[in-house]
Amino acid sequence: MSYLENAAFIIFLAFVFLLLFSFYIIKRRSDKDREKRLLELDNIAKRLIKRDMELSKTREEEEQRIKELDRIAKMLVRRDLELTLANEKLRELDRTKSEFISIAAHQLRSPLGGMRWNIEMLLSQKEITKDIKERIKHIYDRSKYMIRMVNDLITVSRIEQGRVKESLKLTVLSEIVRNVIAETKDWAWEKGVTIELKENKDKIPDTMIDPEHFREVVQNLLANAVKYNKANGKVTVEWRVVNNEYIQLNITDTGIGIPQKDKPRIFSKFFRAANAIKSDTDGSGLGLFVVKYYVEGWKGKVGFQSEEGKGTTFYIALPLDKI
Amino acid sequence: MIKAGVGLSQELSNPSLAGKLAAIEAVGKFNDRMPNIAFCFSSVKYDQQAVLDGLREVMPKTLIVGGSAAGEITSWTTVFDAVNVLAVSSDEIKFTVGVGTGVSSDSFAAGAMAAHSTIKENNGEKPDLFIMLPDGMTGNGAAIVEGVKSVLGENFPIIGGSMGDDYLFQKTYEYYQGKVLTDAIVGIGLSGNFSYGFGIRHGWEAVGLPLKVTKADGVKLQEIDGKPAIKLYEEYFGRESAELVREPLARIAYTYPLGIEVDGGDELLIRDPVLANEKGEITMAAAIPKGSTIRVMIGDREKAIDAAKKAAEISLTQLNGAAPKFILMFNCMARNKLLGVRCNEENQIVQNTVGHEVPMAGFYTYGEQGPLLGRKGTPAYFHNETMTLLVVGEK
Repeated sequence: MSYLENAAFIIFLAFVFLLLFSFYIIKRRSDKDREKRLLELDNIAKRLIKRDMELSKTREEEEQRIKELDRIAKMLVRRDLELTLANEKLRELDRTKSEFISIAAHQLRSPLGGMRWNIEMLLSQKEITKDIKERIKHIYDRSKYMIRMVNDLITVSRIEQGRVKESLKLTVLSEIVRNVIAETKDWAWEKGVTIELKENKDKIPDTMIDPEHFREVVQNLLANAVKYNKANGKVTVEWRVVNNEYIQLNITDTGIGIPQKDKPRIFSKFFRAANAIKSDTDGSGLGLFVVKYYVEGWKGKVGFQSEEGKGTTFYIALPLDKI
Repeated sequence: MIKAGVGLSQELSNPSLAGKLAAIEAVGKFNDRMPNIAFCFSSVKYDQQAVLDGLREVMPKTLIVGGSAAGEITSWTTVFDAVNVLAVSSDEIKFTVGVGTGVSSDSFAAGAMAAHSTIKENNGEKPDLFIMLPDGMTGNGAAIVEGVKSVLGENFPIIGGSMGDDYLFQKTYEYYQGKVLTDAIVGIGLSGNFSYGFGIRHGWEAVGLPLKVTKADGVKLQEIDGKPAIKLYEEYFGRESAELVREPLARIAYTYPLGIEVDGGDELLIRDPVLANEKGEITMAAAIPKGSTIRVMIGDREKAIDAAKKAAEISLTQLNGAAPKFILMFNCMARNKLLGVRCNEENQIVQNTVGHEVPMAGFYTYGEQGPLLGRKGTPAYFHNETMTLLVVGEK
């Protein structure tokens, strides 16, 4: 073999070796890549499984929450039903009570009317002594009071049964106020109380209102102002048109006032302030309840300012456009 | 000129006098003329025929329609155990009345019959507006409406209320030409030169999950989500089904009716449960078809009052500026139960929205009829728990 042949053989061997070596290198590298990729794929798969588990957990939680909300909805409906049924029972009881009051009051009114008529006849007798006449007069006053109370009861039961009917008529309000003052003056005078109507320039427009109900409102407020006044006390009645929006009627007395603790309940039915009960005056505790009912029905407002021992101002405000 | 007047009486001891007094009051302001028609709604505590005879004495030639109610509504108050009358006289409106009978045996046919007989009375012409007063205890309320529509047309303006019986859920009465009927539907057609507005809204809200009706037969709701229908109320009320079957289901379920989704409404269409039986089936006031998605509904006082206000506003808008002359209110009895002592509030809100001086009369119903949300030109449906208003105005 010549030198050249040897050299060619060595080069050939070196070439083969290089080729094999590079194959080896390439294979190693691709194995590593594959491993890396497999690892990456594995990681992705793990991440996906984790996410899927998380999602199904959220879904489960979501379903759980919906079920929970549905359960709560049912529980609330159950509570609502219990309250509705209890409320209905109360309404039924209230209705029975109102019916009883209404029947009792109607049954009482006729004999009381008869009694008053007979007492009036007795009072007109000339041959009775002064002493007896005074006693009869006392019975007469008491019977009148009882009739007033029975009438109040009838009004309240009508209110409770939703049977109050408004007969709206174009009414001169100031005329009703003047009439009620005139009717009350004598009784007030007997108690040593004077009533003053403060006229002012404001023109009170004629109003669509139920005149009888309005009269009842003024009567009740004025009667309270006289009844709970002091000897030599004063009642002032005043009218105003405020901002051309509403008519305000103020009735101010110089009486016993309303104790602070009784103020929140003063319009409740059958409620009388502690000092009113002590004052030994008659009262059903229904007058202000009736006043509030009517005035609010006319979309008006009723309120008061009072200081115990000094006096009270009750006001009603009636909107000009709504009544 | 349209004239209307309202009268109310509570003479329980003398039904004929009650009818007479209510009628006298209703026509009291008419002076010169008798009404063309009188709508009378009365408590079942009165001898029904005696009430109508009382009315007839006062208005011998007037068309008398109406029926028994679950509470009477007037301009000034809402009362029970009363007779109320809305009398209307007008040269511009022609009133014709028709009747359909046998609601329980074929509600669809009874509805169609009432529409046909009203058209016949109107010389073969369709009226411009149809008021329906069907029996509230028998038949399928929805089928009656479909029957009426089959004759008058899919989008014909229809409004009305189903008669009641003071929450006894036994028997209701319908008044046709001054006579007392039951299991019937009375139709009133209005034709001529007048304007009108509808107002229909309830304000109820859905609670709990939507459920599927899986079995139903007419008004009988048999299965919900594959379970006996009564199970639904068992779960919601926490009571045994035996207890729910014992007395009319309506008595405790009327404030929790079922709502169905319908295209074109932003409120669910409501269906009242009436009775349940031992098989666990619930008889509804109107059918809920198989496949319907339903929800249990619950009432809220503020939302109910707000819905009444909205209904009144819609009806007024539809008058297009015409002066409102009278309001007919068909108000669901469940709303009265929901609102309790505040029931007058929603009726007053309607009165004040439409107009303080506009005569208003109506009654507490066992079902209402009219287009969704009161939209004119859309089909009428049977409703429950809904404030339904008809306001008639002078063009």
